[in-house]
Amino acid sequence: MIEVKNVSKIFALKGKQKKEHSEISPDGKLHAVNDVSFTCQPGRVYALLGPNGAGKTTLLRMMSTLLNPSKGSIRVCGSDTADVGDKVRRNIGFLTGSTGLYDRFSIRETMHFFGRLNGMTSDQVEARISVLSSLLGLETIMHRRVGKMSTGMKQKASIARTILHDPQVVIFDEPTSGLDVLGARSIIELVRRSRDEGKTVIFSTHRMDEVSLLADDLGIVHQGRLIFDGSLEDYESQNGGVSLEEAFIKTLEGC
Amino acid sequence: MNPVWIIFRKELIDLLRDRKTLITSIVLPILLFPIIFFVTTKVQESKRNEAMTRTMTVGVCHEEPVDRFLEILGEQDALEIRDDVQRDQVQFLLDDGSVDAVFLFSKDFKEAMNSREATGYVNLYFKFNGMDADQGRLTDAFDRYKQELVDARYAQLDVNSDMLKVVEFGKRNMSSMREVMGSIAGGFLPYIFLILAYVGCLAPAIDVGAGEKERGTLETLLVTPASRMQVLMGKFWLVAFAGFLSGMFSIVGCFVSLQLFFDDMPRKLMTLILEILNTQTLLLVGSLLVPICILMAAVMLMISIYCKNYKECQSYLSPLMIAILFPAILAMIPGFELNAVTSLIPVFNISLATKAIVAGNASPLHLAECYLSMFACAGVALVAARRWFGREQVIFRD
Repeated sequence: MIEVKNVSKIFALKGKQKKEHSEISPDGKLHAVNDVSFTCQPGRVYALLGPNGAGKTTLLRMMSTLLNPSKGSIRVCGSDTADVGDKVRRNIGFLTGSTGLYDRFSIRETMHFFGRLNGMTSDQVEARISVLSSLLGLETIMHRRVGKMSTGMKQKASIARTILHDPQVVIFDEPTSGLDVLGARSIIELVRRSRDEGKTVIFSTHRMDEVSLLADDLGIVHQGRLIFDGSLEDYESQNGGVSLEEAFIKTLEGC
Repeated sequence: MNPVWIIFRKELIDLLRDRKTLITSIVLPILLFPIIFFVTTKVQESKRNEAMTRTMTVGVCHEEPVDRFLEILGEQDALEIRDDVQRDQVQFLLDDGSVDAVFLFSKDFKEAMNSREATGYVNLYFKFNGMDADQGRLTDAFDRYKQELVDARYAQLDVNSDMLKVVEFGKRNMSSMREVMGSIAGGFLPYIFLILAYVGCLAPAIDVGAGEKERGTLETLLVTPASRMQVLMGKFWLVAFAGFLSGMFSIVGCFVSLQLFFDDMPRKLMTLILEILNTQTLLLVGSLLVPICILMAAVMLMISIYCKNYKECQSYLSPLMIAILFPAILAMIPGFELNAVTSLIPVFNISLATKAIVAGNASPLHLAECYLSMFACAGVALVAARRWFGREQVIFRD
């Protein structure tokens, strides 16, 4: 479970950075995330929806201990991200915005490297490799160096790396980015499978089709604030049958 | 397995698979000295032979006959003599390359020789070409001529030449050959291995810091259970190891090239060089690489972690070479020695310590001081790098 309580993230900007950001407060600071609270439940998929620069990635980075909240707290599987970061990291799989793989390593070598860092034995890694490679269609390219693979293959390999240690909480930052239809489908299958296994899944996106396909719960982030938090069903019923895209635009316009 | 070791191992494999880094960190240091020695000895040899055998045109400008000098000059090999050079032609003939050198005898030369008291003046005019051998052939010939004239004047005066040697002044260098070699080669050696240690650290430092940021792999690594300190240390040891490897390979390369290309050196000198470069010296000099590589790795990693990408990192790290080389160059200046004060100055002390080790007069106390000072600096740099690595503003600068 992920519990986000009154979380804010404030960045102190320098001269040049101030000019690049239009949303800075009078004190010269950027409130990337502003008093956000929500909960992601095990066995459910939470979609964090928002336009570019809304604060989605900052939120995900705080959940994965890469950043510390300026205010509030985040608990992952009962552990506070600011206090016991290493404990939190043991329980999460985080797919960053970029593929985050090493070009001169094969997928198998990458898996073994991250597996060892997660405290897995070689046999455990191999067992997971056989499950994940067949699930993601990576069997024939496990030995191939990442640098020689297509973007789609890299993304699949990156997802396999993310869930290699079978974490309780899975955090995906735009998981289908750069994937073709078939690639995206296998990711969608994987997210569903993780949910069915009782894991807590949260993903960020700006694609409505992904939300419709995957999400049980929805959080809409705009200018650092959470402007909707609830189930997808609730959101759809609140907007009276209009398409998700129209509803989303209407929500943003209402801010 | 310790995460530091896991990360170090992964970075090492990555480094060994990167052809560019492999060339700069390992291949270049191994081959640099053999190439330098091979090329310089071969070029020097060929130039020397060329200078000794090439036909030189020498002009002789004189008012009175200087037959004996022309005779001596004529006995030299590969020398073409032009006996018709006029005083006002000297500059022109040298400029257009018609002659390589001109002996200009003073107008009253013959008179001076006959007078028993006066001095005759002869000037050798030439254009600088950096070839001592050219001038050597001509001055040798003139020295023979001069000696004959001196002997003739002594004979005319009926004087024994030894009678005029009232006082003979002699200088004797009491430094052992090893000490002399130490001050020459010992100053040069750290200059080279510091460059190569720097080059060895450079590519991995950029790759594991700014490179990882640019590729987006750093975030992936930071969300593993490994702590930031462990991630940093894994990377740090790799950078330091690459620098050490590079520096050691350069020392080994130097040793090997001495054996390969200095076969035609005098046996006595060769024995001395091999005696200086014994296992103990190599180990001691190699051990100096440890603190310097640790310091360089910590500083470079700190800068690399701060940078957003390769390009920015390269622009920050390149000037660092000056900071490292300046003390090394300073240490080459004669007069600087390893003492209680100089052994505390980072990098400078490494150069001076190398000189002292090669010369065989390194004081264990000063060496210990030197290690202590370097490790203290490296420790401070590492602590700073750790604090730096823990800052969100540094990791996510964009």
